[in-house]
Amino acid sequence: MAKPVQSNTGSGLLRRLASNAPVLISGSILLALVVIAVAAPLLAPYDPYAQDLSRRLLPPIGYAGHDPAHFLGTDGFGRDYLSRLIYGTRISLLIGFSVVLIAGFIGTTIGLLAGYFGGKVDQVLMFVINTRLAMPVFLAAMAVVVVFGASLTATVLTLGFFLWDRFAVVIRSTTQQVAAQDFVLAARSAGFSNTRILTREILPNVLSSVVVIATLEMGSAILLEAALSFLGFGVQEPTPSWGLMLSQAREQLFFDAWLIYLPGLALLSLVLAVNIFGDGLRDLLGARDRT
Amino acid sequence: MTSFIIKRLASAVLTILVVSALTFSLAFLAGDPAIAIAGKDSSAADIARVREYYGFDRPVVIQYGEWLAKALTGDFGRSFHYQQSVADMLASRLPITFGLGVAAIIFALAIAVPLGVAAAAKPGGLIDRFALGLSVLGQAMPTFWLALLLVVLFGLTLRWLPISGNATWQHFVMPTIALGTFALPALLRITRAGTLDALRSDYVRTARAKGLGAGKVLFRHALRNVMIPLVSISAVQLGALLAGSIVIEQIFALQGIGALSYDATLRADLPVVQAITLIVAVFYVLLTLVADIVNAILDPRIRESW
Repeated sequence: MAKPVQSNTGSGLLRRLASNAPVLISGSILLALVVIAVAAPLLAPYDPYAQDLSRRLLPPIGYAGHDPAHFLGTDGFGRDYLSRLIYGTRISLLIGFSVVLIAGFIGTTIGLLAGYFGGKVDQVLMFVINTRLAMPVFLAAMAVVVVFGASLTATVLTLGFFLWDRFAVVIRSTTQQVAAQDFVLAARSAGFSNTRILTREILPNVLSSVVVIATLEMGSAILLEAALSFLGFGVQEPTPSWGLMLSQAREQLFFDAWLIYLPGLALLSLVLAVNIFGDGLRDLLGARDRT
Repeated sequence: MTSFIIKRLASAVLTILVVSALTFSLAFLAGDPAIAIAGKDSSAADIARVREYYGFDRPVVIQYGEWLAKALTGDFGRSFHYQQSVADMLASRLPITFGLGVAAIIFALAIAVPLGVAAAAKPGGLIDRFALGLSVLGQAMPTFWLALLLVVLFGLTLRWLPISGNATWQHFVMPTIALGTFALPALLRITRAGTLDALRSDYVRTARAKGLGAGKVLFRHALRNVMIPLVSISAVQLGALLAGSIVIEQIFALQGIGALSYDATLRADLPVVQAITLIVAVFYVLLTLVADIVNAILDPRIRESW
């Protein structure tokens, strides 16, 4: 049974949030990463694009030959590694947010319409959802690269147009539950238009589910972008994407293995924080049985 | 029941038609495929010859019908780059990808099943927490990064395992661990949830009341309950596993389907990309079709919702 959304607002939610260690910790890490992304120009010691070929592949602190001017060393183009890592936070979060925004909009709209109208509308939309599920995201993204070439925009649009299935499936069933409740029936008998009922009565009550799925899907989007960029099918050089940094680090694997540690660790930490935060949010908002 | 199967079958056929039409239309979104094959600097006569040779001069609907009819019989045309039959290329590379996929699933199951059952036996206990931690970590782990870490540790530092190629079984150890870790979280969660369900059920309570030992109850009754969802999730994850396989095969230089799709994307070899996309989609549709029909036989309520 869907719990009414009212009980989740206000001080009760805050109190539960404060006593939930995983959500607090992952939320703090996430907040810190967002701050790093926003304040990247202030935090990065160097321009992440500035090359200095005379200072290539300087090792990070703790390694022989470390140069104190570059705390985490430099990459194969002599670019400051710390600065590129900091700016990489921006790219990952930017892509995560944009993808989830597009996918969330498409999926929530489909879910609302299918769940509210039912019948033929539902059948058609379920077919659309099932057809989407039959198309593998990663292969589709590669096919798009073949046709349109690889770029940050292509990556965001492809992932955005593909990762909406979970929104649609969950919001559809949540909408079905909400639409059967008294206040919606009352709004209907009062003669309100479908648009008004959907946006004013139902949408606010499914929003917590949307937020939970958005968080969890953001983790997938970030990992998919990194994998695509790693293969050269995502974000392109010289943009500092963690996946792309790992791809370049791999070429130096035999000589400078340290290059692979930090971009991967950054990626793992971000996705871990996002996923744990999403899981915690789901429990807090009482949406477990829906998502 | 018959009407359910007919409706479900019709929906599956329609899905395959839509997906195949989308896949086919890729060739035309890319611009004139004849120019793409002949090369941008070719003469008009050369392009015309290519257009005629590949049949691009005929109506699109007819080309699509012919492409689909051929694809259904296993003929996916010729690779633009290698001038080879796509079906032959796929067939020669299938054993590696299939072997890697099966090894990865077995590796994942070998951890997921005992750990998931043990976790469910004592919810909230130490093993359960470890299992939860492992599945959360596995889900957030970038597969390709794990693969690189394995290469550095076992390949370069310890020198225990070869880092590229597919000559011996040792070449498959690291790819299997990396890809298996990717498949692990979903299998672990399903095993734990299914076992928990079973332990709460009447038949397990009866078995316990009869005095059957805890271990026997777990592995004889609870595990049986988990088998069907485990098999179906392994099957449905095929597309995701192939996606993971693309990165893994590329890193370890395994010449399977994954490496082929990477290569084809790099060279804009459209027939190969189309064939792989279509095959994965059709597999997914068939597997969900079978799963839905099996579930409908087991649970009559599903039939009525159609």
